[in-house]
Amino acid sequence: MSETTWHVDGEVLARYAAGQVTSAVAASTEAHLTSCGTCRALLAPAIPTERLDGIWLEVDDRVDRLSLPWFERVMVRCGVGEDTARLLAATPSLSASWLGSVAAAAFLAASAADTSPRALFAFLTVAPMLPVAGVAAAYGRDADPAHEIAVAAPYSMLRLLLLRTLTVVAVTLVLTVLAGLLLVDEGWAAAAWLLPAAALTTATLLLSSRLTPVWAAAWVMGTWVGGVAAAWQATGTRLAAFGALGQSFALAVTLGCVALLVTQRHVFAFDTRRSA
Amino acid sequence: MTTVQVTEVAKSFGRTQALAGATFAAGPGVTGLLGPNGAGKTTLLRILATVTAPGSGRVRLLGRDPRDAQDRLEIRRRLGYLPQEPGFHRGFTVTEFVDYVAILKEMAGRAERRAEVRRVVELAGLTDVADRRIRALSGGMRRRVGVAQALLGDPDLVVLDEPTAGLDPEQRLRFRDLLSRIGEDRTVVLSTHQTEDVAAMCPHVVVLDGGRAVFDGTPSALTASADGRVWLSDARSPEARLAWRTPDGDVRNIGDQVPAGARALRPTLEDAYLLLVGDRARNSTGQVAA
Repeated sequence: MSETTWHVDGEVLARYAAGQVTSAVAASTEAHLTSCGTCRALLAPAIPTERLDGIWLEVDDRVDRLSLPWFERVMVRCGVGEDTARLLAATPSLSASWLGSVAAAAFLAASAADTSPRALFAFLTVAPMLPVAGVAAAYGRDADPAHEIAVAAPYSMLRLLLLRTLTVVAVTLVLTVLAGLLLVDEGWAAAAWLLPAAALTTATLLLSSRLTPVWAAAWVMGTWVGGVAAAWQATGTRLAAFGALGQSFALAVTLGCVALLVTQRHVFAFDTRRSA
Repeated sequence: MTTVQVTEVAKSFGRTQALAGATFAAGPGVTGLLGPNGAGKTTLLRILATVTAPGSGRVRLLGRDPRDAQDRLEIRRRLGYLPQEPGFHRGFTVTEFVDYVAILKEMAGRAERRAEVRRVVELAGLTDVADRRIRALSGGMRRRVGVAQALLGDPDLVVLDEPTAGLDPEQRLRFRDLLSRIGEDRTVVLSTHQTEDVAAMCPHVVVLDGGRAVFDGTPSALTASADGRVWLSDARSPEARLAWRTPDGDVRNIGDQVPAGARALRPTLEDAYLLLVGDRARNSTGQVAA
């Protein structure tokens, strides 16, 4: 490119460097600068280093943003902040394979539920455990390989746990509700597992302050299956646990666990590891 | 200036006592923790990293009490930690993982955070693999990813559990250079099985054994404790506490009684360490008695 025979006025260059010219003058100056080494040399020392660094940071940032992994891109499009999307991307139970398994389990249980009361009972018993399993695989030493690094960071562990839990539960609920609505004929049954699911999930979160999430989920699911069986045994009605009394109990457990979670939030500040 | 103060700290896991009243203090500079397997190094470092709470005793870090929630938060904001077995989200690239940790470290401002991520990735010598998935990296490279995340935010206290494990000799030398530069004005506490690492970069060494600090001083003071207790002979001396054949065919003996005719040697840090913790150290260093 040949050097031009005219040069930008010094005062205009100074105002351009300070970002104080109109867009028309800026465009004209930039067009000239691309072919004039003399003006570029005059301009360079006048550009504030901090401003230049800031511009480069922004350029880097825009370029980085284009290369977000697909999961994070989807989350960002759904309105989730980029930082939060990255924290969620590290959740094992939000992986495609895990969600595929949950969907398969929900649809299998729901399709069987349409064929007999026994299968409906199985669907209602299994459905509340799906979000619990997701929560167990979302957080803690067993599920999160970088858990120990996360515990030593200032980010609130309870906040991270709740963030991942909410996302996992939301996704699992969508899949299971869809399966229930599409495949279970009895309208009430499609929703009868929701309150028990809330109770089991909050109980798992609460126990995670003392046990690893996997153990907490195992205890909760074992207790749930035992409770459902006991209710059946005591009343002689197979779906007793899902009746009005059972739903009220589930609501009470949910509220109680949430209250205890709030009071015991400080316990999540440490790792629940039990060995050296 | 004391930045790490550990006083009579004990910690048990069920019936296993990991720490039994450990006491030591450290300030700016690199402090090396030596000790055989099961001596309590990892438990102590996890306590210093505020990951676990001590069962009893007192800990103060950067002038704050980690038992207090607000103090603990302040400590964590000024802390870098590499666990013994750092796990990685293997689907992440190096940059994505370090950025993930930077978010956990509450680094605000996406552009500034990315710049900081690039800085520590470069410091750890990972620029060429910054966009590679962690699952495709070698063990040594992953270790460096662990070190990179520990350096985020230029922390005042850096706690590293066996940072040189799995590094090749060249990486280890680079790492020593990096750590000694960091330790010029910051507190670095690291554990290692490598006495060479301690001799090369730690002005302060603490030897743990059985959950207690059995030595706290300089590497030269530790080495001096073995003066007159190391000698060469043709055969293994029955008085030697430990002995092994050197590549030259002689037997290096260490113990309290020098037999007649044996040639006294200037001790190394490893000799002194072996004398201090005895047979238990052999499992850690891989040293085999002749």
